[in-house]
Amino acid sequence: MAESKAGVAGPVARSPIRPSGAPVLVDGWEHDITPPVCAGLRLCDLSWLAKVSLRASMDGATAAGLAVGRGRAARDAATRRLVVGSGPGEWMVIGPQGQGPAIVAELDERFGSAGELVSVVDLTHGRALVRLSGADAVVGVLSKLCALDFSDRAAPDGTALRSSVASLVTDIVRDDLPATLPTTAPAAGGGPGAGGLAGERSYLLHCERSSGQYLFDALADAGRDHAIAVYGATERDW
Amino acid sequence: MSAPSAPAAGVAVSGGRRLAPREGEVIDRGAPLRFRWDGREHSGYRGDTIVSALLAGGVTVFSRSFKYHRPRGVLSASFVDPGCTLQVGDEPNVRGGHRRVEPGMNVRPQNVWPSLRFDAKSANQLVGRFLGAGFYYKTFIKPERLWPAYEQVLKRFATGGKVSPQTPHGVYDKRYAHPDVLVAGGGPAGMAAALGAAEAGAAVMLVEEDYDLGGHLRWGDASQRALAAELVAAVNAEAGIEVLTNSVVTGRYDDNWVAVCQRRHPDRVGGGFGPAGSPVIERLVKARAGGLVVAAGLIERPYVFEGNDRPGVMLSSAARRLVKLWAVRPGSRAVVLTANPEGDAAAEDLASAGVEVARVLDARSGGDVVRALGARDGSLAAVELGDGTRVACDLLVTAVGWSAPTSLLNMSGDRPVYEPRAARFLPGGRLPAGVYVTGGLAGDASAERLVEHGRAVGAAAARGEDPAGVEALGVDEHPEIFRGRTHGMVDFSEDVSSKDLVAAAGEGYDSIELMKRYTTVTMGPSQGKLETVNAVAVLSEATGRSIAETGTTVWRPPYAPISLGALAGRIHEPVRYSPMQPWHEAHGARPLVAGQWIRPEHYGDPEAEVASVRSGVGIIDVTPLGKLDLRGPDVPELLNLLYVNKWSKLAVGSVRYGVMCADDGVVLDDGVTGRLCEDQWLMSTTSSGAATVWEWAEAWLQTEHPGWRVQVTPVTTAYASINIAGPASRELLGRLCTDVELSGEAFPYMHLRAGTVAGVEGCWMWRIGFTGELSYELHVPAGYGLHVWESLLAAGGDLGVGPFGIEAQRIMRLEKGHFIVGQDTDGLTKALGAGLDWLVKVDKEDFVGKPEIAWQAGERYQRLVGLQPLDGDVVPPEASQIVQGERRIVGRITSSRRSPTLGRSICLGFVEPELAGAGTVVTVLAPDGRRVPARVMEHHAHYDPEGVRLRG
Amino acid sequence: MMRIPCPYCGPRNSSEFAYKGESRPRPEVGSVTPAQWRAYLYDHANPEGWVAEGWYHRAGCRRYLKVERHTLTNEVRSVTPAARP
Repeated sequence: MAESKAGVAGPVARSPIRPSGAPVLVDGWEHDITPPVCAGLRLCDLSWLAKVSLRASMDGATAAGLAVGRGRAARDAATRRLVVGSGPGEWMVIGPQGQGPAIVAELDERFGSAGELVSVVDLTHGRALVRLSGADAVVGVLSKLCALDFSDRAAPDGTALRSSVASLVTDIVRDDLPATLPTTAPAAGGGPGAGGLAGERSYLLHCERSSGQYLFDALADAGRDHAIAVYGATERDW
Repeated sequence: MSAPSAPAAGVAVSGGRRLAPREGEVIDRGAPLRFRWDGREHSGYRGDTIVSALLAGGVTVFSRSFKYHRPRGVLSASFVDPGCTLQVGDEPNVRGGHRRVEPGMNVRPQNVWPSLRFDAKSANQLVGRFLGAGFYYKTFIKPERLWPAYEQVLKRFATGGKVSPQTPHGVYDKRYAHPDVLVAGGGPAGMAAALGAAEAGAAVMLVEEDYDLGGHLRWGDASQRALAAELVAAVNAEAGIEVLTNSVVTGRYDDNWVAVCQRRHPDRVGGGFGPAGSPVIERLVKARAGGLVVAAGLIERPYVFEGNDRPGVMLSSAARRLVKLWAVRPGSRAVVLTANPEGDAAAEDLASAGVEVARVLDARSGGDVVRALGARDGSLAAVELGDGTRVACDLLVTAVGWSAPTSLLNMSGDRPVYEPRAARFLPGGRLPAGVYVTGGLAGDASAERLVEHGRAVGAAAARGEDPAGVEALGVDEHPEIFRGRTHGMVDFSEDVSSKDLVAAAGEGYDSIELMKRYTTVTMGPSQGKLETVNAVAVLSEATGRSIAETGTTVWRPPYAPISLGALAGRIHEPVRYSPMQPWHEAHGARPLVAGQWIRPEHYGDPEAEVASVRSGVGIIDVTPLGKLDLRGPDVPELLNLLYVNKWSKLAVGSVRYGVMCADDGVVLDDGVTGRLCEDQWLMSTTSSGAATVWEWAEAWLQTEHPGWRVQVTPVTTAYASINIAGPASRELLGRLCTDVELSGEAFPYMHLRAGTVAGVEGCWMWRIGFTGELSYELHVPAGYGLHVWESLLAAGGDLGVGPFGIEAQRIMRLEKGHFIVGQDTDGLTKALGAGLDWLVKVDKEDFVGKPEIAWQAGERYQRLVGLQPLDGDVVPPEASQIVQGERRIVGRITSSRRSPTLGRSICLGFVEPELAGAGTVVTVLAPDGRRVPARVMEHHAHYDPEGVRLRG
Repeated sequence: MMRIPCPYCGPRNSSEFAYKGESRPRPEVGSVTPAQWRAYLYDHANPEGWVAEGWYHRAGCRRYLKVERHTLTNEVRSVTPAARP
């Protein structure tokens, strides 16, 4: 193991969710590269995304600075980060792979020195994160596993919820996919799907890492009737 | 059952009861099909129920009754028909009056032995007087030792079908729904309510028990059928209405939580749910409805008289359904007893079907039947009328009134009231907001008026308005006709007669609830839908009280029978895995289920794993250890409150052991907390206590001390945790970690450091351990867990490193005398009893559990002690009692193992204080009766009590 | 299943919450007698009618809430954060 001491062979990070085929190493993380198919219902693993938790007072300066209310999620076009108002005084910033330390440093700098108590914790390794997409996502999967109302009226794009999914405490973010692969960022200041095009219904779900495989299996099993397709995430998924 | 003897024609029975095509029939004559009944081939059409197809083929007896094994035929030709419960293939208890027949179905009768035609148990009829009210209670009580034998006898006589253990696993599903308005019942009022609600903008779920919408209009006259068709078309055209047919609302619970069982069968023809080919058999829909509209209609009530359960005696609604829906002639020569327009219509329908209507007896002007007389086979041969005359017939149709299936209203909190003018119960007006009633349950009216009412109620439900704004339905006068001059069957499912009820009342069971339990009336599969009002009427007659005074039994969920499969549905039991799980699986780990976690118990030989750690080095996956990230200036306050010891002066880079108790002084959890930097702490908990301690900390912060500046973030599975234990652990860790000085002086016991391990930055190393050896607990960013685990094993080959499991760790911790919360303590173990006197600091101003622990010092309590059996080869089972004399219990063994290190058995256990002194010999009473003398030890630790090894 | 209108998450099924029992103030530790302490630990009023009790929104916002519930009808008339003044 001299090489690892010397830093020759870098360490390998793995998702809690078993890839469906042979994985490929991308910047130190194993990725599933099963090609996506054109299906009405699809599921992929995104656990390698950076996930940073932020806790602050519900109505202090940090809350005002983040400008994302409880129960809402908003994407920052420039950084490709999704800021989720996960609960009272609780936010989760989801960003591209490898950005965990950078997001922590940035949030600490922005909010940590204002005198308000703020906990910024990198939970990249602590949360499993998956994306469930397709017109059948509710009827085929979510309505079988979660008691919440996912109709457009009750939970439109940009809604953040925490509930029990397959008896597991799970965060759910309605994060519709753009209708086509965007070549430029969506309209400035907009939440997910604010570009005006009707996006494709899609949800991010995340839970404690140790239950990631369980959640993934439960979603895939519920979607069997609707021919759910499991694939490796693509650029479009993040 | 042997094959039919005349297979040539294929169809064994042809009774010629099928009528020429009729308007409104639901059978598809272009789709004939064949199926088997009782070993013989029969035919029918798509759209037939099992019973309509069989009756068309001349079959009139479908089962034997529950107790007396009397032959039973069609009564209601609907789901609740008590005599038509059949076995279909492997599926028992199929409602033959409801289930549509399918090609190739293998249908058999239930509750017959040896056959339907010759049933040995029908001898029960001869001894009927012994099977009266309370027979089972009185007979099968003494002697108690015969209960198992009685069970065998009773089981043979029970009415259920047979479940095959070979039945393939069916798929049962579950889903949640959120309709603005849920309508229970798809008759005219229910359909209209759905339309009214949808027109008001509501998302509607319309649930109908039958395969088709329409309710009683389906067997009405031409104009009624036209109205039904119009409503069905409107419902289908309305996008806001989801229609569930062949589905039933089984219960209404708090806040309009409504359970719907959606039935479907693998080879069901036509519509359904889910994509084609879905294997789902049944689905439980859990709906949270904004408004619930109950439009359950009315159920026709049987008339009680002698012989009323003979095949050939049926309700007017059954006769009309058979003729008009399935084009089946229910008999050849009929007598009709009618007390209402539906009965009158039945007489006309029978005549139109070519049935010779011998007599129409109008109950409104004194017409009556006294008894039904049977042929040799038990079926109807003649009727004795009120004037004593006898009329030969094979069909007796009764129409003496309606019962209101008020179940869902009762479940909503209503208490329906008896209306003597209408001879039925009506809603009692005590419904909570959000529950509405329409249709026959609410009153009587023409179909048009019912539709108008339903539409208005549906609209009110959509808007959340008070239903009082809708003009109420009136009720029609109806004579009160329940029992005639003779006694007959009241509960057809349970074989309870009016005579039984009168006898029970005479024995003192004169309240309806007592009578129900004593006689089992209303407790069978039909659950009171047909028989409750008759039972109440018979009781009121027996006691001289009015029906209103007598009251009814309480209706509880489920409204209709529901399969266990539907209830079990999709079962969710979350499991957790560590990042190293794939390695454990690949290396033969024996899995241990610990709460939600699947952990390696051992990798083949736990004692060898112990020896390896004690002599060299081993690694164990301890990822499930709870971990909480604590930040804020008031963290020491929180630690001082939750733990029984002191925390104010914990230095950065140090860790400390702590024990938490609840406010009753009972030990809750233990663990080690470290100070990572000036304002950040990491608290570890037991594996099973991770969630509890997190909630516990939040509870105190949120309720008692909201002013404290502390934030708690759970990070249990953000880290993979690995304990490296053994004299060679420092050497092993040093090979992978270059940026931390590991010497005993630089990194002493009970300290922590941050560093890079196997190339992974941001790892925490804690010098602590449960095994008593020099050891390091690594907390590694979880995604790298497997990488670090494999790197450790690869780097330590020459040191003999290997994995060890939970069992080896349990042995080693017992050798060291460390207790495990929940194993060595229980829900009564307070801190001092667990031997924590040295840790508890009662001079702290406050901590959770302090008063109880302070008072405990002055109380008498059992002490946790180390114990060694005098014979070191004897390992007393855990939970063995410690006794004095014959059987006085003075303690118990909580942990017990053979120590491979010491070569003898070792234990932890509780003893009375007088026995806690070192050297005392106590008697352990093993469950098998052995008495094992054991010595109380000076320390909890059996091995290295001074702790020299771990401090090295 | 009863529904609890969570002030943070909106109405949710009670199965998302953990029941924490009747809300009772914790006595002053310094001066409490055994009888008072044990009344705090073990005595429950369990009335038929309105009761203030603690519920923890385990599968939601993870806040401890004080819920005023009618024990006969399960009607909930107020839900507030459980923080004691």
